[in-house]
Amino acid sequence: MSNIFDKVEGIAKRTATVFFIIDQSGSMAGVKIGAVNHAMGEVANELKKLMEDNADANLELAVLTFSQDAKWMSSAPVSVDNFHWENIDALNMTNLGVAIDELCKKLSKDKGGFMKGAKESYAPAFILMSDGMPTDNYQVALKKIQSNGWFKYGIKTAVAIGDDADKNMLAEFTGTIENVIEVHNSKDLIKVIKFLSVTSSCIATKGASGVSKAGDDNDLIVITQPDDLLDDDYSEF
Amino acid sequence: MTKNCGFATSIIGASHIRKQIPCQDNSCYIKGKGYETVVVSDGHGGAKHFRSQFGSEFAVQVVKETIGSFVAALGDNANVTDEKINEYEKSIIFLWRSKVEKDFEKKPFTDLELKDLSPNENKEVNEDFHLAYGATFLCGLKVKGKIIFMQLGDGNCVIMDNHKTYEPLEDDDRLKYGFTTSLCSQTAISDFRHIILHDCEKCSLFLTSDGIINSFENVDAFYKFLRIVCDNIKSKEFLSDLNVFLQELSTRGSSDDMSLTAIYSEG
Repeated sequence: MSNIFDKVEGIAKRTATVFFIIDQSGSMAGVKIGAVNHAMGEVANELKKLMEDNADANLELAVLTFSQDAKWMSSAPVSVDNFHWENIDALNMTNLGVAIDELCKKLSKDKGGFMKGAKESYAPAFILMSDGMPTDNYQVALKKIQSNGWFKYGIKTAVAIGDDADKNMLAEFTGTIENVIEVHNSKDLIKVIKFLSVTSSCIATKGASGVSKAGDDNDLIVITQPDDLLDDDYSEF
Repeated sequence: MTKNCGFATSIIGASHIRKQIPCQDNSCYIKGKGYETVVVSDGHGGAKHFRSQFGSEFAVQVVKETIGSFVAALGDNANVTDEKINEYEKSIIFLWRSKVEKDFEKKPFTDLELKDLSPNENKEVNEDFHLAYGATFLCGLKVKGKIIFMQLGDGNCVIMDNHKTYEPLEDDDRLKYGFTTSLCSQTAISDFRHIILHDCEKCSLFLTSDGIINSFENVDAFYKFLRIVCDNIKSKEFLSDLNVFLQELSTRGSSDDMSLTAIYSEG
């Protein structure tokens, strides 16, 4: 039966975006980059299963890899149904500042930005993975992105890969050390990438914000890590 | 002479139907002597706002009980000022809180209501029970050629005339990224925003809860939808077709409850 409103166009589900920011510096060579490739290859399937039970939102993924430069794996976020991981290699530097600057540029609804929708409804999720110390002045870029609303209110987590990872820097990125998970073997790295992807996506697509509090004092979203997530085997890295 | 007509409708969201939770939106259209008013209130969906369907109901009741006196006090020329609106907003919050307190006194929280809250959320609602009733508040009043919008929380207050469609209230950063201001907040009085527009005899106005704009790709698509509402408001099947469409919009879009109210002017 026809309806007066049959001609209404532009209807869409809200979209939540998960940003993966992945260190591919030289020190990631071998077992570490292998584990990242393995985990990211399986992330899409894990997230598709999650979204089967969530009809309220679309989930899109965007991957930014960095060493000397920062490069997006696709020109726009990709729906989880269409996401295909392409294996990456370890390269050279750890220019985190360059990566954060590039991420900041895309957190916008302007031309070239990755954020869409009529309103800024779902805050995105950010997962940073790194095994070392930044080789550039990342603090300037971090200070700038911290005033971007999508970053400020987004879910921020990080994976500290091995002993040499700069956990303080990662905590500066996430806003709390509680959202930094440290791993020392490839099995744990794979588990943590999947855990953070699923947990962050779940929170992002449920729109876990709430009533504004006075000033900027809104609660940081803290991820609760299951006690049995890690094997605590320190033999690999 | 400009002819006005108005309506208000609220429908339950697709996700609420799935999860078997009640509609948390409420709305109304009031035609009084020499004025018309529309109200939308959207109860918050978070776990600790488990009585927000009552909060939004109380918000609409407060306006029904008070708007006539407010308009009468403006006098024959509807001499509306920022100070008078500020006072009315304070009375809305006071009366809303009174209704919440009476309800809580009759019905303290039950274990069933509290069982799904985290320890932190439990602590928060026990320290301030008003949180459980949290809701937004949007009101549009048309009187003597003036339009007044009062807004606390997310949702949209839209003006339409022959030339353009726009939202006269400035953007509020506190209403972005999933956050909202609220009737239940300690800062509600200062969080209220309003605007007085003159020479609006031929303008139409709309109030919508955020479930509607969150179902569109962009603001232009949302405004085009409101134009279709305007073009068809006088049709016999208008309200029934609109309610069927809003259900579909929720399913294909935000999955949220939806309220749409309007005071339409033929111009």
